[in-house]
Amino acid sequence: MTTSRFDIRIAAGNRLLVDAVGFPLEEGAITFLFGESGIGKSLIGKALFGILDESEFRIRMGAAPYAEYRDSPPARAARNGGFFMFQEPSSHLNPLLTIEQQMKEGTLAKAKDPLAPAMELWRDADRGTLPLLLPVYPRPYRPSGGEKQRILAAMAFSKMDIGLSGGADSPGLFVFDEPTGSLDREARDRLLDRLFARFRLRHETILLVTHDYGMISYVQSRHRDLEKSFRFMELYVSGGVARTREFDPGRFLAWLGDLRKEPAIESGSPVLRVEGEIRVFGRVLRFSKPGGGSRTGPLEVRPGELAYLKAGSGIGKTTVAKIIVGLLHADYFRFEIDGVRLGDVSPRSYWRKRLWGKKMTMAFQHADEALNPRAGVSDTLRILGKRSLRGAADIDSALARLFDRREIPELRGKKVWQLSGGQKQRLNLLRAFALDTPLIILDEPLSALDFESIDRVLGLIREARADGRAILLISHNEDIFDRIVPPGSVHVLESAEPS
Amino acid sequence: MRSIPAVIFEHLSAVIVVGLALVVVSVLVRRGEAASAPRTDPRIERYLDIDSVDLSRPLDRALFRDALGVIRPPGVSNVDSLMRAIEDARLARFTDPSRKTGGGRAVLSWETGTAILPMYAVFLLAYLTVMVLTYFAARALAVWKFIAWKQGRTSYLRRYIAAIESLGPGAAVSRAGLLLKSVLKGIASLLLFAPAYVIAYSFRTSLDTESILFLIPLAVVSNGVLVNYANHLYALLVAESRKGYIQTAIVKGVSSSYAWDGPGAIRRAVLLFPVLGARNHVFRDIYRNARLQFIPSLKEHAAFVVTGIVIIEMALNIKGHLCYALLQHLLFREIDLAIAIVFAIFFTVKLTEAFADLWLLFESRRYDNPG
Amino acid sequence: MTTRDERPVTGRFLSGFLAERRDLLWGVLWLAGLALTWGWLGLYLNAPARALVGDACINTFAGAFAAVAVALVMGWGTALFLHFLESSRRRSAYLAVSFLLNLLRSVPQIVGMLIGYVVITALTLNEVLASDTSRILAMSLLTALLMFQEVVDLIRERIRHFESLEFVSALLVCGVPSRVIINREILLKNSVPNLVQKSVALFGRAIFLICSVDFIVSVGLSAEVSLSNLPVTLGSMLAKLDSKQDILAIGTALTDVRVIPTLFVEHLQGISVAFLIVYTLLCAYRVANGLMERYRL
Repeated sequence: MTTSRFDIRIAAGNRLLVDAVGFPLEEGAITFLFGESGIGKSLIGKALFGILDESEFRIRMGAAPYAEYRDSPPARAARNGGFFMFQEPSSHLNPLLTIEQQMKEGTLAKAKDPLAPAMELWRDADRGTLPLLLPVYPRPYRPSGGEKQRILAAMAFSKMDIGLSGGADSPGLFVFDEPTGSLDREARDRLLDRLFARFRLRHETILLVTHDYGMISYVQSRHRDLEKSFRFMELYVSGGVARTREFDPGRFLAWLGDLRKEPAIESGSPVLRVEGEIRVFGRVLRFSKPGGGSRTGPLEVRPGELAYLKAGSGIGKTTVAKIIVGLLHADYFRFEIDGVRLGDVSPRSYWRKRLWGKKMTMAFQHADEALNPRAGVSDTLRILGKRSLRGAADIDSALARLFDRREIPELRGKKVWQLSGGQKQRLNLLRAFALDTPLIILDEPLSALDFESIDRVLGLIREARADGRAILLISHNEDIFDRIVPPGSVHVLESAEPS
Repeated sequence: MRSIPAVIFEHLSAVIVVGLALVVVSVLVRRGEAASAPRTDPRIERYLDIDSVDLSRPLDRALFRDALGVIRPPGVSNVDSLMRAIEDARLARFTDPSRKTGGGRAVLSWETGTAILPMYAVFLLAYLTVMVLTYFAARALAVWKFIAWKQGRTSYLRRYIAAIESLGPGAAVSRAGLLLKSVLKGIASLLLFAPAYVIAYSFRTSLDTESILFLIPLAVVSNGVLVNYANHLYALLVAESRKGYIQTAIVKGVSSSYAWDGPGAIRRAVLLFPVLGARNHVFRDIYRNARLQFIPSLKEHAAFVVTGIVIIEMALNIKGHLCYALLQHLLFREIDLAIAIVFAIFFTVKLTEAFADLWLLFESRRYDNPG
Repeated sequence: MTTRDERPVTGRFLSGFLAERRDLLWGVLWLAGLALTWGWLGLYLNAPARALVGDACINTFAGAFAAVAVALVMGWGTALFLHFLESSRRRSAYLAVSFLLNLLRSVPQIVGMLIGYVVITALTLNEVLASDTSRILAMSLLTALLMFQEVVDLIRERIRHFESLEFVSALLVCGVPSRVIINREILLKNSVPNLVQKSVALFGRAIFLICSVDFIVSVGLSAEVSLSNLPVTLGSMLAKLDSKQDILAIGTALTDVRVIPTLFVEHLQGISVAFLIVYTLLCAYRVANGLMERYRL
């Protein structure tokens, strides 16, 4: 196997974004590229694949201009035989072509059965949904984010199948950019299983870009036979520029092994009590306990408790959170917060006047969208109107809860759009924790973070619990939270047809 | 998504509301004019239309005064004051602008209304022709500009400045060529942005600027109509080309080469037939998505085209045309007729808006999901 | 994205500037064009005519500028009012206001201007509008009335866009009032380039409308309107007999090239006025376009 090393420099305007010296890409191996979101992992993937837009960036591959690399025969061959699975599945499907048409588009039409790989990515019980999706024109909520991601993965697998059936002369380059961002753990594991199954048959060159460090424990335990084909790299920011280095998976595994169940410190009557049934979008959502069979009951969160709400992709965890915070109207729901009973007939103005920022708040899943990109970092906290967040020193001490003190002076003067994805996510969480609300809802709080930041966020949650605040948590990071949250605080959300 | 009846109702109600509002305005104006019109003293009215008497001649004047003294109308004590009142009234009639065309002010009637109809038909023909021509010309221009952008072609001015900066030997001829092209392109740009009357007056000595054959191309190219419309589609094409699904189509192997020749190249026919000319090319997806968003701009465009035609017909005083007639009716305060023409123009725009909404509705329904 | 400064890898100063700051470049070119024209007029046009062109220029640009300012204020207010009606579920009032705005949108601007001018003329003859300033302001108000819906559309589109991005929801659940979110977070922090771009485009449109309607009024309604009663603008200047003859000379130049040099000396009044109109329209378009490309609006 030959390893090509690339010196990749990517700049936008006069700003150098990425300076990856000697980035190794080994032919016929699987390279994992970890790191915080938004620091340039995708740019490296696109640069290597030869699809980075030169009208937006100035790119150098070693000493040569980008066009020379892009048009070189090896890069062309790798591209022609390969595939790039983009992140953000919602924007990567054409709204004017059906799913089926898109699965047979371009060279994918050469596959013997372009639709077959998709079947592998659905659970046996849910396979009936795929034929229903094929004639659909993609819309924002249909197919769901998770379904769209699986459809894009199926396209990549379809391209791999063409190679397997002898339709491609040389191995191609397959870049998977955050391929599991919208998937629950089960769906993620199935996707990885199918990818590695193909890899065992034909060693393509694979670059897997992700911030999901949890993949490490999965591939180390379930695909140990491929250990020799795995390469681990990490992108980190130094001196304002993203650089790459080798990553030792043992560091993460050791950290994960050190995580312990947190002691139960909850007390008193529930801050939040949601009755056991919510009716929304023609479905019924119910809460149960893991391993509790069909028994359903209310969802309760007490002061100091970290309640963990689990469910598969697309079941409606975020929907429940939005109903509780009054952003989404449900046909039927009842809940009680801090002694006040509310339901589907309660006016929205009640949330605005009495609850938002006073009794409850929520940190949204996508920090990119949840923060104002043109606002300053300080303004993002100051807008909360709290007396304790007026001066520069107050802002600094608030930021120090999740940021390194050394980076704070520079950080304070920046706009949100200038931050990396991980920095945005930390700011997003800080904003929610800065309010002294008795209830905080956290939707995917660990997304976009490297594992050092994850550690800090877990510390922040611990502090909030110690202060007696109730936290309702939604997360796909089961590798981490299953180790922390006591079983009594875990709730499973189920969706059913109305009876 | 709106339904067909809802679209029709929305536009029809607007037409009815505006129609009623204009009728009310017309009635109010008539009443206002009637109230403010100087009333002729009934005692002198019969003496105003005696054509055989010319009061500027001393003899006629003396005879007329004597006659008034003999047949003195009831209630008149002083013949001189009566004489002065008659003279003032005759002078006022003489200076009334509506009398200048001979006869009184025209009002909306069967005859005047049907006189407007042929003018409206000509207006409609010119308007539809300009709309269709602008649509296709703007589309071709936008596609050409988009492909030139994709081919990495920069403006002559930029290339000229870059050539100066490079200071390469022996490039003087090429620099001069670039400068000349840049100047010519600048003149063409000025032409596209020039108001129609500037162009029309520039050509008036050598062309028949009052012909409809001059009006139509002038309405297409002048007033910035074409360039704005083309630029709108171009911006949509650029925005679509940056979307994720286009990147995915490219990695699926759908052709994305914008060279005019070579394997997977785009064909020149794409300028006239953007969908057929881009089979198996990613441009087809870009164009189809952009076009769906372009359709509603037809509504805005309709108002621009009408504005252009109105300006041309009025500024060039093209007699016998609807907008020239509108100007004349405004000039002579024939408000009824002016309102009728304004309503006809408004109706035309509304009709186009309804057409654009229905077109968008039908196009969108093609991509509706089952269930 | 964390960054650090770096010298450009490729590209030269001027051509690079042309590529990245086309809005500024065309703004500078416009001012330079005006200065050059004024200098040329100083050399070859007699003083009274030059003063008239100057007055026409100032009146037209001031009128257009005021029209844009009024349109922005009206558009902002109306958009917020509509948003309030929509979010507070006052459906009937919301539909009624939207309906009226749509009606106004369907009136071709030039027809609206013309009708408005009839009113302004009447007010001028009745001496309600006694000064030049009041007449220019009336013209601006009229122009703004026919353009402000575009500002309404833009602001409403910005609010809708950001409301779909979740940051509005995120701020709401943090207890931030909606008026602060809309005015400060959405419009001031995120929409200034959009509003500037729209203002420049509207400035061009206002110049076009004011000049066109003044030209038409001067040509077609001159019996009704005493030109001395309305402030002179580039449009009414162009309608003057001597200016029209200057423009007609362009046609002669097309067939007789010997006339071309005389255009810029002997026919200067009409040619310079026509140039100022067309060049301003071109520059306004280029600046607006440059802003659109630079900020990817």
